[in-house]
Amino acid sequence: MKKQLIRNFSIIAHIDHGKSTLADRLIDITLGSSVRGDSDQLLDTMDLEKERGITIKAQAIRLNYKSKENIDYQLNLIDTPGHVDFSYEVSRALAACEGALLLVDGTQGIQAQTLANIYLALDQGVHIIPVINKIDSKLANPQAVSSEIQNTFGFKEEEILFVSAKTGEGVEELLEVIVNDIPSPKGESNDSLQALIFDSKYDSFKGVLAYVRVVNGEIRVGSKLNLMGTSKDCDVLETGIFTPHLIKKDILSTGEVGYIATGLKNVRDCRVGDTLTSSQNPAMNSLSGYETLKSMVFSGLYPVDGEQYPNLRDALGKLQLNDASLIFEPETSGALGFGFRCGFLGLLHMDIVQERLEREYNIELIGTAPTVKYNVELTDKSSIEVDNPSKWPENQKINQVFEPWIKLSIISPSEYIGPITELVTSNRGEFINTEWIQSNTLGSQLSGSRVLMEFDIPLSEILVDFHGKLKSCSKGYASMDYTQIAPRPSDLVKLQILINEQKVDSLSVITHRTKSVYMARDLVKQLKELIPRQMFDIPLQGGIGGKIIARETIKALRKNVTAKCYGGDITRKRKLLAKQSEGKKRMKKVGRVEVPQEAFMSILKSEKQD
Amino acid sequence: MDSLEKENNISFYIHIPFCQIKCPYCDFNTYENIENFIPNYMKGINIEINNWEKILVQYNVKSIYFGGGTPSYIKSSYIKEIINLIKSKFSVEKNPEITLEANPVDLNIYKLSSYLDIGINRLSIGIQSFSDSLLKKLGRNHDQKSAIKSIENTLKAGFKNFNIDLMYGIPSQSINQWRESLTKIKNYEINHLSTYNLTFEEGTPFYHWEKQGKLIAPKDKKIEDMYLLQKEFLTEIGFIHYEISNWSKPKMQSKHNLRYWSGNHYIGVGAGAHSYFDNKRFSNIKSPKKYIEKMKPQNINQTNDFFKKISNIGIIHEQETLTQKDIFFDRVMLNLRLIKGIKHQDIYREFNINFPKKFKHLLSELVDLELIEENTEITKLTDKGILLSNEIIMRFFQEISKPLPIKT
Ligand SMILES: Nc1nc2c(ncn2[C@@H]2O[C@H](COP(=O)(O)OP(=O)(O)OP(=O)(O)O)[C@@H](O)[C@H]2O)c(=O)[nH]1
Ligand code: SF4
Repeated sequence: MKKQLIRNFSIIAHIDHGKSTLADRLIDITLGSSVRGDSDQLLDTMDLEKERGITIKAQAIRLNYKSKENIDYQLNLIDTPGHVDFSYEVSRALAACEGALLLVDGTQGIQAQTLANIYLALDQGVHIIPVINKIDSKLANPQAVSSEIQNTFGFKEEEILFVSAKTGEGVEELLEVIVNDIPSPKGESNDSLQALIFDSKYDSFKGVLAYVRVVNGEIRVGSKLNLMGTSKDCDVLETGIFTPHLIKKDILSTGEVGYIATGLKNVRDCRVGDTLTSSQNPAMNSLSGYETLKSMVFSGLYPVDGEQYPNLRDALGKLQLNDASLIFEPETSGALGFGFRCGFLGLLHMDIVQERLEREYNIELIGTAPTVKYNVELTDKSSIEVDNPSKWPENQKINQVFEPWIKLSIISPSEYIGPITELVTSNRGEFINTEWIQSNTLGSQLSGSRVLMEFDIPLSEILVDFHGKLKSCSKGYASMDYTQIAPRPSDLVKLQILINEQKVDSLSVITHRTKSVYMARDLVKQLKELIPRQMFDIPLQGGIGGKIIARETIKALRKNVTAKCYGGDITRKRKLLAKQSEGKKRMKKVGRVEVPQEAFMSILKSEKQD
Repeated sequence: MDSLEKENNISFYIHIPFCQIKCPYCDFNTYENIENFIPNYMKGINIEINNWEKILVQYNVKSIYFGGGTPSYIKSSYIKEIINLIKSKFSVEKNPEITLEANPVDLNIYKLSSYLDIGINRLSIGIQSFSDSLLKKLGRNHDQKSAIKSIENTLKAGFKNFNIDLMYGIPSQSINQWRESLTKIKNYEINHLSTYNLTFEEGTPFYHWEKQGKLIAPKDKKIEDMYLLQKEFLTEIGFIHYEISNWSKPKMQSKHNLRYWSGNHYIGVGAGAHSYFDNKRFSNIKSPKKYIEKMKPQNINQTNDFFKKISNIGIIHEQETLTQKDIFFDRVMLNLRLIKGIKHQDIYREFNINFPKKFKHLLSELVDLELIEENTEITKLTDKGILLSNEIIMRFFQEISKPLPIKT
C-alpha cells in the first residue's frame, strides 16, 4: 500500500465517553458488521476489561475504507488505554499515529482525562479531530459541549464533528474527515528499519508479540531484529495485522501498523516505547521517547491461605510476562507470613493486578495499605529509597525525607469548588489555579458553570479513599487526573500500630506529622471494630518512635458456651465448632491475637478508581 | 472393629417427637398437633429396635433414655411396651438406668406410679423456671404452681432420682429471679439439676424475635454473673458440678448422659435420633411422617453388615465414619465439658498421645489466661474457662488440624 493512502489514528477520550462503541461503528462501516461476530467492543480483549468496561492494553485494527471519491485507504486504528496509570502507553500509541479523534461525551462535556489525553496528543504533535459523541441522547447538549471545546482548546466551530457512536449517525462523515485531514505517514522505505513498539503481549503459542508502527524501512518475515533500548536481538517469526482477525503478512512496510512474533519469552525484553531496527543494517538512532516505567505505588500482597504462597509466586510471574510494569519481590511479615512487595504504576494498575490474581488464579489475597516511594536522606549523608513502612529508618537517623508530589487536575461543576478545595487542602494539597471552562451557550446547565482546578498534592494523599471522597463531595460530577511533579521535602513519621503490645509492621503507615495523631486514633478505632473479642483484653495502640499517641482496648469475651450438648448429637456440635474454627484459621495471628484479614485491608483500603 | 472389642456396652436413646405445644425457643426435633401419628410412630420404634437385635447380640444394655419432645405426653403403655421389648430382645444390665423426660403438667400421681411400675427409675422434669412471668415469656404450658406440684408428686410417688431443668439468661430475667429459682431447689430433696443458658437457635421464633429486636438477649456480663451465682449457691447446698450444665448430689450423676460425654456407644431410635456405633455417627431422618413411612417390616432385610442393615431401610439422614482424628477431637471436646476434665493417662492409653506435650504451647497460654488448670494427671477448665468453653475447644481444634509450616 502506498503510504499516501495510509491513515494511522487513535481515539482518545475520558472513561465511558464511548471510545469502544465508536471503534465498533468504524469497524462495522468499513468491514460490514458481520465481521465483528457477536462479541461487542472488540478492542477490549480481556474479560476483565469487559467487566470493568475499560481498556487496559492497546491493540491495533486495520480497516479498509473506500472513500466517497472511490479511493481505497488503509486505516489503522490504534486503541489507547483511558486511564492515567497508563499514560505512558497512551503517549506511545499516539506516537505511532498521525491523528487522534478527541471524543467528548455530549452529555458530560470535557472531563479530566479529556484534558490529560489532549495534552499527550499535543505533545506528540498529532492532528486532532474533535468529535462530540452521544448526540442521540436526550441528555446531550452538543452545542454547549462544542462551545466548551472551542473555548478550552481553541478549535473552530466548523472543525467539530457530531456523532452518535450508538446509532452510527455522523460516523461516515467522520471517516471522510479522517482520510482528508489526517496526514499520511512520512518515513522512508529505503532507510534502515525503525519501528516503534507501542504495545507488547505474551502469547503462549507465539511468544512475545510486539505491536509496532513501522516508521522507516520495512519488516520482513525471517529477518533478524534488534531492540535498541534493551539491546536484545530477536527474530521475526511472523508478522501480520488484525482486521480484527489475525492475518499473516510477509512484509510490514513504511507507515504500516501490525504485529511481530518475536520469539522472545518475556515482555520485559520488548518494552513499550522501544525501537526495533534491523540487526544487519541498524539505524543510527532510536526513536525518541523511550522510558522504562517506574512504579509509583507499592503494596504487600499475601495469600490468605499461606499454602498458596508458591501459587502466588507463579501467578505474579505469569502476569509479569505480559505486564512489564509490574514488579515484585519476596517479603515476609510477622503477621501475614510470606508474600510479595509489589510495585504498580498507580492505583488502578494495583487493583487490576489484585483482581486478576484473585479471579484468574483463584488466590485470595491480603493487600497491605498502598504506599509511595520515599527518598530518605540519612544523617550520614547517604540516601535510600523506602517503599515499605517496615524499612523506615529510625527517626534519629533521618536527615530529610523527600516525598513524591503530583499535579492534580480536577474538573467539576463550580458549585463544588468549596468542598473539593477543602478535601484537597485537608490532605496537604496546595491550590494552584482555577480556570473556568467556558461555554457561550447561555443557560446551559452542563457547562456554563464548570471549572478546571489545579492543585499540587503529595501522591500518598490520594492513594487512600481520595477518589471516593472526591466523587461523594461533588455528587459524582468531578473527575480527576494527575501527573508527577518534583518530589518535595516533608516532615514524615512512621506510625506504628501495636496489637496486644506487639508491633505489627504490616499495619504501620508513613504519615505527615501533622496528621499522625488523628490517623493513629482513627486506625485503632477501626481495628477495634474489626478484631473480634477474644479470651483476654487486647490493648490497641498507635505510636511514633515509642511514644503512644492513641489507645483503645478490646474487652475480653466473657462467654461462648453451648449450654446443652443434647441427645447425643455430637456431630453437629463438632461441625459447628469446626466451621467456626475454620473461620478463625483464616485469621492471622499477631502474638496470640487472632486478627481477621479485613483488618489489614479495609483499614486503609484504597477506594477503587473507576 | 477394635472399638467393639474394647467396649460391648450400649445405651438406647428413644426419641418421642410430640409436644402439647411447641415452645418458641426450642429447636429440638419435635412437633405439636401430630398426635394422630403416635400409634404408627410407636410401631415404627418397635420395628427399629427389633432390627438391632441381631447386631447387638454380644452387647449389654446399660441404660435407656426416653427423650424428646415430651415422652410424658404419650400414654405410659407405649413406654412400657418399649421397655419390655428391649428387655426381651437384649441382654440388659440388672438395674439399668431408665430415664424419661417429663413435662410438669403430665406428672400426676397416677402417671408417676405407673412409671415406677414399668421400670422407669429416673425422671427429668422440664421446669425451666419458677417465675410465672418468665414461664410465660418462654411460652411454656405450665406455671410455677404446677411446677411445684410436679416436684411434690414426684417425691410423693417415691422417686429419689430425678433431674430438674432450669434455665438462665432468659430475656428480662433478673439476677434476683435466678436466685429465687435456685432457692426453691433447697426446699425439696432434689438430687440432680441441669442449668441451661438459653440460646437463640437459628430457625426458632426466638431467633427471629431477637433479630427483629422484639427480644433482647441478656448481656454476657449478666450471664457470667448468673453462672457464678449458681456455682456458689449450688456448691453451698451440696451439689457437685460434674458437667458444664449438670449438677448432682454425690453418686447421683446421670449414667446415660455420662456415657455420651465419655465417648461410649449408643443407639438412637426414632425420628432424628443420633447413634454412635462402630466408629460411625449417624442420625435418622427428622420427619416423623417419613420415619413412619420407611419403618415398615417389609423394608427390613437380613445382612451381616450392620450399617447396610440399618441404612437399607432408608431412614439414615446423615452419617459419618470417624477418623482417628475425629474420635480424638470428640473426646477432647466432650471430656473438657466434664468438670473433672481430661485424664492424660486415658488419652495416652487410647490414642497414644502425650496430651500435655502435644498441646504444650496452647496449654501454657490457656493456663496463663486462667482458663484451664493443669497438673500431671489432668487438664480441666476453670470457671472462667467453662464460660468460654467453645472458644477453648476451638483452639484445640485448630491445633489438631494445623497445617504443616510452608517452605519458601
Ligand atoms: N446514547 C449513547 N450512548 C453511547 C454512545 N456511545 C457509547 N454509549 C454508551 O456509553 C457507555 C460507554 O461506552 P464505551 O464505548 O464502553 O466507552 P469507552 O470510552 O470505551 O469506555 P472505556 O473503555 O472505559 O474507556 C456505554 O454504555 C455505551 O453504550 C452514543 O453514541 N449514544
Ligand atoms: S416441651 Fe420441651 S421439647 Fe417440647 S417444645 Fe417445649 S422445650 Fe421443646
